[in-house]
This record gives sequence, C-alpha cells and structure tokens, in this order.
Amino acid sequence: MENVGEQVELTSYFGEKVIADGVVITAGPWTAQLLKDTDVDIPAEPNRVDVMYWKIKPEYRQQYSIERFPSGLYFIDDHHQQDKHNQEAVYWTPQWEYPDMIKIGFHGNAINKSHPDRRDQNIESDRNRNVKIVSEFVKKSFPGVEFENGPSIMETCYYTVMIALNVSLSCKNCACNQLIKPILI
Amino acid sequence: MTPDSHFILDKHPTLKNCVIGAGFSGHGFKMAPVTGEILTRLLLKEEINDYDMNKFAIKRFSNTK
Repeated sequence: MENVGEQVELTSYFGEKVIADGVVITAGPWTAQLLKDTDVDIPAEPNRVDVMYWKIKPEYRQQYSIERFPSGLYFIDDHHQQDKHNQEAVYWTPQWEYPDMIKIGFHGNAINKSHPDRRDQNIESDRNRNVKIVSEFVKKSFPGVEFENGPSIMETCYYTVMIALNVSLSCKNCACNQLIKPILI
Repeated sequence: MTPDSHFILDKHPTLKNCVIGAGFSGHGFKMAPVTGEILTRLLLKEEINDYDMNKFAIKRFSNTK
C-alpha cells in the first residue's frame, strides 16, 4: 500500500495494482502481518478458539429453548474475583443456531495461539483439552445434554487479541462500554 | 498474556485515506454496527466528538513509527 497523491495504491501478492480513494483495513487475524508491511506494529495476536455445540436429549429440548433458557458465563476458578479478564470460564447460549443443540464453550486465558495460515496446527491436542473442560462442566450442570461423546459440532473461530500494555482488569474500564453506552441511550 | 480488550479504530499513521479496525479480542461481533459507523466517519474525515477515540488510537503503542 502506498500513497499516490490523495489516493492509495494497493499491490496484490500477484502484482496486480488497484487505486482507491479510501481503504478500510479490517483483516482480522492477518491485520498485524499486513500492517507490518506499512511500517506499523500493533501487538495483536491471533488465537484459535473452539466453538462447541452439544446435542440435547429430546425430552429436555424445550427447557433449553431460547424462550426458557438464559445465556450465561461461569467462572471455573473463583479465587481471583478481581481478575475476571484472566479467568477461565464456560459460557453458553440457549438452543438457537443449530436444531436440538446448545452452544457451550470455553473462554479463557489459555486459548490457543495460532497463525491463521496454519490453523490446523496442534488442533487435536488443544481441542482435547478444551473439550475435556467443557464436557466435565456439561456433565455436572446441564442435565439432558449429551456430554459422553463430546460436542456434536465443533467450529473454529479466531480472536485477534490485543496484548495488554496498560492492563485493564475491570469491566468498568473496558473499552466496549465506552462505545456501547451511546447506542443504548 | 493478558487480553486488554482495547481494539484499534484509527487512521493509518502514514497512509492517507486508510483506516484500520482490528484487535477486537473476541468481542468484536457485538460492536459491528458502531465499528462500521466509526470507520466510515474516519474515512470521510468527519470529526468524531461523540465517542472517546483515544482508547482506540493506534498511537498508544510505542513501537508505532
């Protein structure tokens, strides 16, 4: 990418050139890599996250429907209440995206560093660990959800995580609140 | 590693007419409408006074030239 007068010239990997009046860079997990070519370093780190959907037994399906069941987040270890951003947690949403399945996943500090061009690297060992954690939680807390054989559907999601420079541990200071308030009012 | 949840919404420091939205740390989806609005306004060179944009500035990273 280069300035050409008031415009931007983009050169593709294959050498094609495109001139644009404006460019919006929203390259997700590839952003840090892309910006490096323009002499900008941002501490953004791609992480692979497993998204899991678990089968609900027929007689329990109504109970986990979107009309009856809330979304939630459960912190696995509550010894560090002040440190919510660093805690491992299990989250869930009611049955909605796939028929007869509930989304229950793992959220935590130990999500897996992963290059988006090599997204299958170490996927088995990372997945086994995450499935084990969630599966134990499902067994204990979600009656009627089939935990024995693991999730029925697994999807991969990428988080592009900003590494802390000024550590912010409270949701009161969380950037998302700054933006979301004006919308809610 | 600590996720700091402060993403980037800013103009590119050297490229003109180039804006960046990145580093949403896993909670970008819910922000998509306002992210789109802000990136559009940045690109159209509108002055943004109704949001505190300092939190999302790219210049908070010392290694940015």
